[in-house]
Order: sequence, then C-alpha cells, then structure tokens
Amino acid sequence: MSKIRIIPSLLIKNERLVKGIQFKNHKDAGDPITTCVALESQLADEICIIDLDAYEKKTNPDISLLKKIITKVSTPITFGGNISNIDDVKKIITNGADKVLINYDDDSDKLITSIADLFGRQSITIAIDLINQNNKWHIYKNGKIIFENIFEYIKKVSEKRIGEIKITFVSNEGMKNGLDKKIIKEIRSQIYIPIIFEGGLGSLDQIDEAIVCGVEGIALGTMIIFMDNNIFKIKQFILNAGHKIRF
Amino acid sequence: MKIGIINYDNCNISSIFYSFYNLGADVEIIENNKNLDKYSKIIFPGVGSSPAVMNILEKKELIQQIQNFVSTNKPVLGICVGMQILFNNLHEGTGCKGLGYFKSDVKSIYKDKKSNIGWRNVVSKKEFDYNFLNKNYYFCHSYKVDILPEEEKYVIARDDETKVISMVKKNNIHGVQFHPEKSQKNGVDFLKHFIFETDTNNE
Repeated sequence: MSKIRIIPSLLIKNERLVKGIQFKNHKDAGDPITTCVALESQLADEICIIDLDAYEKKTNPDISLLKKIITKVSTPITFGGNISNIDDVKKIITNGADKVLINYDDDSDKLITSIADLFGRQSITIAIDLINQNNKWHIYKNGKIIFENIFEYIKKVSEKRIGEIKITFVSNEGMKNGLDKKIIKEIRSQIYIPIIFEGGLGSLDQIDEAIVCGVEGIALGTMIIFMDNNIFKIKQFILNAGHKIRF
Repeated sequence: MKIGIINYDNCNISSIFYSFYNLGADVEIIENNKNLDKYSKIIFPGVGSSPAVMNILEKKELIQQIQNFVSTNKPVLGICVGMQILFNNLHEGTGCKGLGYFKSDVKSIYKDKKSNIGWRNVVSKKEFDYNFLNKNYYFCHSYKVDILPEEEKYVIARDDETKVISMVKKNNIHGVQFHPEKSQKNGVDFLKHFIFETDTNNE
C-alpha cells in the first residue's frame, strides 16, 4: 500500500476560492494564492485547482492564477477547467502544473493520445463525476447522465493511456455523509491504476473508513475549506489510525 | 555562477525556473543552439515524454552543445524525464536514443499500475554519507531506468515502495527520478545543495 495522498481540491471563480454543495451555490472561501501557501505549509501532498468559470462560461481555462501560484509553492499541482485541446494543456504544464484534469467522454481519446505523446501518460488525470438517481450511481457530464453502468465505464477509461482517475460523488459533495464505501470497494477490486476519490467526506472517521476500503488518494474540499480541520491534523489522525502517510 | 535550464518547450519550465530563482540562484532559460560555456551548471527539467524531449533537443541543435558541456565535467542535473534522457535506449512511445551517458535503458513501469504517482521515501542499500536519503520526494512518472548490473555502482538510491531507481550519479552527471521542485522542503534542500555545494570538481 502506498502512502495516502491528501489533496485539497480548490474551485476558482473570478480568481477567488469558492466552495459549494452538490456543484451548486458557491460561496466565497478566500484568496487562492495565500490558501495554496498555507496548504503547502500544512503538508498537502498535492493541490488540485479547478477553474469553474471555464466550465460555466465554456471558455478555455484561465491560467493567470496558476502563473501566480507557481511562483510561491513547490507542491505538485493538478489543473482543470474545461480543457479541450492540446494547446490548453501545453499552456498549463509549461506554466507549472504537473497534471491536467480532463473530463472524459468519447471525444477525449484523441486529446489523451496527444497529451500522452507529448508529456507522458502520468500527466493525465481523468475526472469522472458520479450522480445518484433512484439510489443508483450514474456517470454524469455537463448536467446530464451519459452512461448507466459506472463500473464498465470506469474500467474502460482506466485502460486508456492515462495516469490516474479522479472520481467525484457529486450528489454527496458538501453533504458530509462519507464516501460510498460499497462502490469504492468494488472499483478498487477491479482497477489498479491510481484513483483519487472526492465527495462527501465530513469527518476524520469517514476518512479512516475510506482508507480501509482501499482509497489511496483523497481529495478534500468542504472539510478543509469550511470546517475546523487542517491537513496536518488530518494526516496526524491518519497516521494514528495505522495508515501510511507522508510527513 | 550561472545555472542554465534547458527548455524543451513542452515541460514544466516555470516551476523549475522559480524553484531555482526563489533560492537566489543566477538562473537562465536556455533556448536554441547556444554556446553553453558561460554556464557553470545545467538542468534538464522534467515532465514530458522522452521521444518528444529528444526531438526538441535535436531541433534546437542543442545536443552537440550539451555533449561539449558534459565533457568539461561541469555539473548537470536531470530531473524525471530529464534524468531518463541521460540513458541509452528510451523505450517510451515509438522509442528513441537518449544522450547515452549511462549504458542502461529506460523502460515502461509495472504491468498493472502503469504510473508511479505520489510521495516515496528514497533509500540506499549502500553506506552513503549523504543528507538526502531517507526522505520523501514527489514522483510522477510512467517509465523507469532498468539498470545494467555493471552500472549498479552509479545508483545512489531507490524508492522504498516501487524500488525504482531514484538517484544516480556518474562523475558530475546527476539524475533524480523525483521532482525536487515539487517536493516542498526536502526538494528545496536538495536543490540548494546542487546550486551552492556541487562544484565543478568531481566530488
């Protein structure tokens, strides 16, 4: 088992940090640059930065903030925000991100190939969003369900030339009810490439439960942005619970 | 004492640049066919596929300049793919020849996992009086050095989980598979040492 990665997930709107519930109702949560510096001093293992404006306005990702962050931190960065062509990726990586977050659909294959050829497969993190409808999870993109069988879909994506997958339980986001353990166990038993999970974590015990289910990468939004937690404290808890973590 | 960073256009040039700049190094980005004599140290940055990197070095007519520089025994440091291109045959994608300072090849990572992403502790079996061992650094790669038995002597450290070769050194050619520029305090310490304490004498 590798060391657990704790990855703060930062959503950006108008160069400000925001946080919402179930991908909606975003509230201001501070300055992203000072937040990144603070997260680094708390020993965040990576930082995931997502340009929400790019998704909402369907524009190219704005890297002006990334440019500023990179002068201040030496923490690995994954950057996302409606990335749809190789020129976006070039801009993002030359300006200091290590990985790009790509929202997969059938049109992504060509982009994945060009990124892997130029930067290597490890620079690609595929984002898969799951939404719960009638007590069943489905694959969700751009406001609609695009695929029913999540395991078949995730398996298919995991076989592409990519580095890792980030799975978000959208319906649980900001709800603090914990990750869906049954789903995680099933995914982990079938897929061996690195996976980061996000959506619904609200307590330290829930983090422990998720790790026991096989989670190696945990992205945290609400717990870090709006609750009385810091990464150092979370990592200390994980260590005390008997798991491997970096200090 | 100028440090040059080779720019292969598609690499994480900004974070490498700032990590040196923020430490007070006199650092400069190296573009096309350029006489490298004025530099005292050269960096090959990371992030990139090795065939794409070698292709750019050729296009920029930098290979001969690099060979000349290395022959003077001034220090060079390769980071991640920048370390891999110091080796012989690079099996990534359609494959290509590396700079060949090490005779070993670079091959694809494990069967199932495909990439090594995360923080790993770097350890050595040998007795080294070296401050940078038994520390965590950030790894993000999908190819690894496959060392020949006769080159084992150049291996300084491996990572303690996947056992990939993490630090190599031959004369003044230094390579690290991890990203010191992304490894927070441990990485800063490592780079500081390379900037201020590695000199042109073979240490």
